[in-house]
Amino acid sequence: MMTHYQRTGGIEGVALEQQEVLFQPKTNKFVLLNPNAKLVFAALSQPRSAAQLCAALAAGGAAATAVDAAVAQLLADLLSRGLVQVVAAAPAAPMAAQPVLPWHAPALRDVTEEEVLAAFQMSAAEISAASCWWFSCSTGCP
Amino acid sequence: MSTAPSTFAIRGIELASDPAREPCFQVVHLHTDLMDLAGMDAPARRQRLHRHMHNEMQNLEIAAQTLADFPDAPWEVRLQIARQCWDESRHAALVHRRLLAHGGRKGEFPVMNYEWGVVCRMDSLAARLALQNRSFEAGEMDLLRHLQREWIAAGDGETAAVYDAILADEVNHVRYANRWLQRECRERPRTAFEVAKAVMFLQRVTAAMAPQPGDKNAAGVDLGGWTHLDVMCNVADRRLAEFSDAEIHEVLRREGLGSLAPKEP
Repeated sequence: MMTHYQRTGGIEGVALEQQEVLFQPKTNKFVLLNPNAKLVFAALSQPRSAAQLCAALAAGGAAATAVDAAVAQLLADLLSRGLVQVVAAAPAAPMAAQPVLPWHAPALRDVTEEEVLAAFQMSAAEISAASCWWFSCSTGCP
Repeated sequence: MSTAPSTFAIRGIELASDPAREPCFQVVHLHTDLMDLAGMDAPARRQRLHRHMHNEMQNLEIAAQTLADFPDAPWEVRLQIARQCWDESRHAALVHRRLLAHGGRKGEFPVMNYEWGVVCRMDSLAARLALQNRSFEAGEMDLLRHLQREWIAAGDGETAAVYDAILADEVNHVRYANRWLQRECRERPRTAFEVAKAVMFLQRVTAAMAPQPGDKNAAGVDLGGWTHLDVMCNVADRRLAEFSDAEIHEVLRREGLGSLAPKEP
């Protein structure tokens, strides 16, 4: 019987550009998902088989064997961190059309609290995009 | 009973409702309704000082509201927030004095409670400090050095000196927030997640409030013509405020200046 996987309840995520940072409250640990891993994790809001996940990534242009191996590794990494769990096979809804991303292996990386603090910042210029918020900046803008 | 402010929606974003204002102030909610002026002529100088004064008022109010909203926070951080209230009230008075010296008056220009609306929407102390201190005030540190030079070039050394004094205080406000957040993250890692969510909220607000092509403000100034790209990271003061090398590197990277980042030891 085909194994199905689904996100573990209570996992929180926040987008970081094209990536996503997940927080596992049971272990107090963070991981960073690359864009294709983010896509996989989003699909796991419902029970999915590895084959379904591979099919979603195959449009990126990689060889099927490479996709299969990368998805298997990602699922193992997610399982070992308690971010997904094996669930009883269920008639999952068809997967919605996924954005086609250039192929790179979906992967995750453990990140520290310090790395999260560093990653989530805004520069003065970025904040000023909503019009210079403090007062006229050195560009002479209003 | 919660003292947290109520909210209102603008451009699809929920922000904290305005704090009380004296009748002399016209409060608006969009940058298009402000009368911010470009350049450094006499009205623009008064307008800059007026906006700065109002921002200092907001910073006082945000810090005071945070003291009220988080009565169980550790004494050490509450003491720092209380000191920040004193600093911000002094800054508001200092800038008001410069406004009067330039012939301006309180209420001369419309005001917007932007920082208040964003920061007081946050429901954790970590998120408040992440936005008020680590984002807005850290950004202010980046601006103040440039602005000191501008006022000196405009022949107003007294205003430049006021900015120098304010900058010294802002470094301390950012530093205590960094210290507290770093310690909290070690003891309670979820704190970093609260910071991340707060910064993402600020990004959404910024995107929603950004001027649309062709937007002009109430003074007729085109708001779409500015990129703010030369507002650069003030590395020296960010170091004094105890941002890590990794954090400074990230801000420089976001400014397209990653090659200038401090080297790893």
